Amino acid sequence: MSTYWVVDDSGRILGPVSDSVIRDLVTRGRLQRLTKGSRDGKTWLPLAALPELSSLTGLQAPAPVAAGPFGGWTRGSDQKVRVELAVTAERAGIFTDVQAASLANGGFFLPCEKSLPIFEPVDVMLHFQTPTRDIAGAARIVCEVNLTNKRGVGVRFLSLSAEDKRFIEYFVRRTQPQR
Amino acid sequence: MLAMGATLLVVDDDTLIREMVKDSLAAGHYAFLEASNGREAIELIDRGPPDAVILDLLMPEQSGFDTLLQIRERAPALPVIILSSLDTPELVQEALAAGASSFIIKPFQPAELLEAVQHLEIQRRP
Repeated sequence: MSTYWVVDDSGRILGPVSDSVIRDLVTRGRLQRLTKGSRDGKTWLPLAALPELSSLTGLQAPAPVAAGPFGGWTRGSDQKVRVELAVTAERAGIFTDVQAASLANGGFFLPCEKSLPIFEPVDVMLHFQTPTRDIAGAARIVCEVNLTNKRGVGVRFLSLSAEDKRFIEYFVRRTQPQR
Repeated sequence: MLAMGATLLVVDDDTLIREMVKDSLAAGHYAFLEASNGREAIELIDRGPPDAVILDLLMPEQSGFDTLLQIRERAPALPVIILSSLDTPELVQEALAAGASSFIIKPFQPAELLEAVQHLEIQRRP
């Protein structure tokens, strides 16, 4: 069994671990965006130069939702509304800026041009970045937001675990120290 | 529980995780040292070993595994808890074989971490 060290695009190193461990972690999306590898932990090569590892890149789970236009929702073929957001430090205000849909009320503000009916059920997936964590859950639209600088809807989770809520509280506290 | 003032070294490149670890263990009234990578952790240990180490596996500069091996060379009996989001059974086995005292998967329950730290004390009792 061969062992390797690998580096992700944040420069974090894992190793020495077996190729089977790396494959397992990559396949399940636990390890993403590998950039370099090493057989000895000292000599680093681009992943392409290590065929046994580069073949894993094709297995990598999709990268987190890219930054860009933020907000919005989609309605699937089953008519269910889905919201998927990449939550960065700059966007942490979605949990605090609109009181009716703040974290204190188990929700967040969803910027969007096209509103949704109040009480509409929504499937939510939040991709937190730095630190990485995905929080998914069922939610409902609770209010419309139509302010000078904010347009969208308020969303509240039907149930948000204490651990997830605590994580978001930490995320907000860290990213918005001035608040 | 570990005596008040017992020192834990928390090694994680993510400040938030270090804060969460400290908050999770607040009930133990421990003292904390913090390191954002393995090199800093080794430097702190060389200055004076803590009572236990809580170590991430995926870190910049050097991996948690390499850090664990260096800790074992310097302080073979120093308890090390691995705290990682990487969780294959084989990886857990490799970490334990490399000398980790226990392996906790992120996200974790605060009580789970506190219990693991308390268990360390039991292990160290003669």
